[in-house]
Amino acid sequence: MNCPEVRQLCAAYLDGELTPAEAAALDAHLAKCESCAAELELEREVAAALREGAVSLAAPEGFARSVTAALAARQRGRLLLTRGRPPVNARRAGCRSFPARPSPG
Amino acid sequence: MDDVKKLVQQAQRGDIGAFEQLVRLYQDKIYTLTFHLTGNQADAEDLAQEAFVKAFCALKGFRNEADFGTWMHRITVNLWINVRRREKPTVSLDEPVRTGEGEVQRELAAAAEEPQEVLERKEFQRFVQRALRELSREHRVVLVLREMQGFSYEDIARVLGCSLGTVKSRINRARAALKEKARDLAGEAGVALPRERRRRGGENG
Repeated sequence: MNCPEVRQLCAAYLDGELTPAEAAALDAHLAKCESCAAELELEREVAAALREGAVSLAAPEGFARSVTAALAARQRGRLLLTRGRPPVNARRAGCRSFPARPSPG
Repeated sequence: MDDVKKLVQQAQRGDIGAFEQLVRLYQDKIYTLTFHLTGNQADAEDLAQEAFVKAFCALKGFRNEADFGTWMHRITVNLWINVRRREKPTVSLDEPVRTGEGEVQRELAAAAEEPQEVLERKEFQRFVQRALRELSREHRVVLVLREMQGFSYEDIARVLGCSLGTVKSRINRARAALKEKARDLAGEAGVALPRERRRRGGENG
């Protein structure tokens, strides 16, 4: 295994996702290549620092209610839009990310 | 049939109350994901809300034998990658925080007491978090799922709807990009990398 091949497999190596044969070949390379060993170590440190920055959060108070309120508002918008329009368009309009503006007149 | 599947069935028939219960079951996970992706609470809340609204609209197409949580993650991640929005700046730990008693400097009191090594370690962590925000969204997604949400490669493949091979190569490229950015940021600021610190510690001891 050469240096570019090793660099391709660094992440999978750190995550234990290599086959035993691949891991053994990579270990053999690391034992004699200081540069790859240093890069791998830095990558391990960076990944660890990222994990340390992870948090477990609770959604803000009233979040679920705000979602259903947004859905209800969209459905009301949809009802307004259905007047004089084919139902299929109205159904789509009700679920658009941004409420469509009623056409003038 | 488990509770989630029942709620999904009811919500698929248009029952908003059942969908609200689903939201309650998954809101913390999705909000944590959106916070890690966006880096601030306001964007995280907007994105999470939009994701659940989109999920309700797409619910008829959801096959109920699939995992609802994985599907929610997929919707959220796709929404974040595809909908370009202006990101609010992340809150730096160096910036003062407004409290009821006026502004205070975060971590300052604790920092004065801490040894150099702990400070440099914290600083390095800060560079890594900043480097994450500078990556492409595709790279950021795989790193957030892997490192911050603790997903397996198989789970990430399911969320992204791609092969295991694609996940492996994407994580590898993302980690390499993150490492380079963190190295650059640390270098610009003159902060020692962990390996250099250890070497220095070895020389001193």
